[in-house]
Amino acid sequence: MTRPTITASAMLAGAILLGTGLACKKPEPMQAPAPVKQGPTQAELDAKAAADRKAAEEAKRRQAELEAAKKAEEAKRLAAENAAALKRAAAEALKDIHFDYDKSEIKAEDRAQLQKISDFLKAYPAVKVEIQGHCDERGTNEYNLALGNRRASATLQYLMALGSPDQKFTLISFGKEKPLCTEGNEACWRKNRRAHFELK
Amino acid sequence: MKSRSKSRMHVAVAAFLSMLPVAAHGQSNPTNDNQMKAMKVHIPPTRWSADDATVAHQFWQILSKDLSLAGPFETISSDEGNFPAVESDLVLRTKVHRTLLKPFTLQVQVLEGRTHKILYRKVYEGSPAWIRRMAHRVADDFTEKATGVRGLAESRIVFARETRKGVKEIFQMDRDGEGLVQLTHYKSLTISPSMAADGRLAYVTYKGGPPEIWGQRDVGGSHVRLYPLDPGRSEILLSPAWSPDGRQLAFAQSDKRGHCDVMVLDLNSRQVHRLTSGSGNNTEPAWNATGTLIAFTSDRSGSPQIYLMGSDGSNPRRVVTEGHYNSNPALSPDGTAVAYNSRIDGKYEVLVHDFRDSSNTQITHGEGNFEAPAWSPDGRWITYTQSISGTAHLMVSGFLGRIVQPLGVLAQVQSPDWTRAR
Repeated sequence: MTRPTITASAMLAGAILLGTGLACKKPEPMQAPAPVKQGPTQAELDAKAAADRKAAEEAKRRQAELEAAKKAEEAKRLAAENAAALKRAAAEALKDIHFDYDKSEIKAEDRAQLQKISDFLKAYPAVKVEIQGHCDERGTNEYNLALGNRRASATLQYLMALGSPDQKFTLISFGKEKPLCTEGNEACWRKNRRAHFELK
Repeated sequence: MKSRSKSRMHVAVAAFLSMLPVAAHGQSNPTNDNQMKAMKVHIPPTRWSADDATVAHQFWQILSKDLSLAGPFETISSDEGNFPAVESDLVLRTKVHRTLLKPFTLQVQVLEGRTHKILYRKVYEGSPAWIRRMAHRVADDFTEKATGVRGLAESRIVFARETRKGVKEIFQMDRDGEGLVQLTHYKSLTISPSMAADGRLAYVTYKGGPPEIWGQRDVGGSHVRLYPLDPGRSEILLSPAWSPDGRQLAFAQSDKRGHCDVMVLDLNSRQVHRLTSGSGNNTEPAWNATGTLIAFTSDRSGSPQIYLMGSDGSNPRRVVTEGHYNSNPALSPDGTAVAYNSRIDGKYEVLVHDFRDSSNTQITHGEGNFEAPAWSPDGRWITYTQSISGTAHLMVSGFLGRIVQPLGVLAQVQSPDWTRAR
């Protein structure tokens, strides 16, 4: 008796197992139609991740750009400030010096001015300066061009003696071609007999 | 413009010259013209045919002005055509003529003043558009026939002129002060023009910053940098002056030590030679007509003075011994004299130093400062600037200052150079 029972049980179990097996297979078609409702596919996940990454990168890039722009702005502001400071210092320091008629000797009264120029050049080691030699209206155009050069040169020699290297300077002579003042009197002539300094 | 009836002219010209009351013969500097007496020339209004009344009048005005400026003539340009009633040594009759078949012509007749005998005739072909040039040609031919020295109506004067503050350009105009042409358009400081015998221009321009010598390598060619050869260099360059053969350019070059030397550039070989020694300022080179000598200004003795040296730099010697400030030499075409600028009693004047007797003659008188003398190609005139209260005009002075005329009406002019080259 025991044996058939076992057999029946076994069969039953088998049937159950079988049934279970069948039952397990059955729901499959029911799960398949609803993938959207139930969550993203791998491909979608990948795409989303990529998009997220991209957005993050974009944001990061934007942030970097913003920072760079900020930095550039800051640098520009600093440069402008420096330039303004240089301009102020230059305007303060680079003032004309004057000469006697047909002379190119540095006058005692201009030594303090040249010292200021020398100090300015030491404070701003990157700048270059053009020294312009000018003359008054008396004497010939051509001879005055040579005289203007001699005035520029005398100024250069003095500044070099104060410690500024030769390479900082370019020389140019305008003779009497670019007068500051065009009246025919000594006050006006004196203004015109000058060395003028320009930042280069 | 062509001329005809040459053979007939030859005969007439011989007669013409022999009949002249007083003629200043030969190339000369003004000292040779002491006895010159003005020749009376009657210039009746130019006749015309067809529709050429306007151009005939224009021609007559230009011709009359040319001959009145020429120097040897006292011109009578009456509006009345009744020339027989006018007393003169010579009559210059002119007619503008054209027909449907013939081109535009100018017919010129020169008559003896008293007898009205025709001394010579000449026909010029051209066009109403060239009326200025034609009038100048007629004037110069007439002057040459009458005095033995070709006139200057066809010559031109180049100069620098301020166009606005800090900007100067090179201009030219005819000897009568008309026909102004602007030759440079750099809108920069451009100065010191020199004209070669073949019409090539050289000058200094600051258009790129440091002054450079620019001009023409070829006749009628575009303007290019002549010196420095290497654009990177920044010496101060000034005072270019063409040699008479146009192959070399003398100029002055300043250095950072404050010296200035006279240099010569050979345009073809591109070789540069230093002619002075690096002591003081040596500038304003000016050639003689044969190219063997160069006059220049040097302050090697302590003040600017006139020197002369061989065009190879040999044998420099001071030539004007009077005065504390002498500069801007210009050698006369015949080489017997040098015109220069001198400070006298605080005023700048133009003087002529004659090498033959070492005399110095002041040719400028009057208000203001006189500067930048330049000889006319025939050596009879000197042009210079007269600056009064800061305004400079061009003047010409002939025959050692006995004739003084304004040259045009332009203000703010400087550094004239006078040339026959067109």
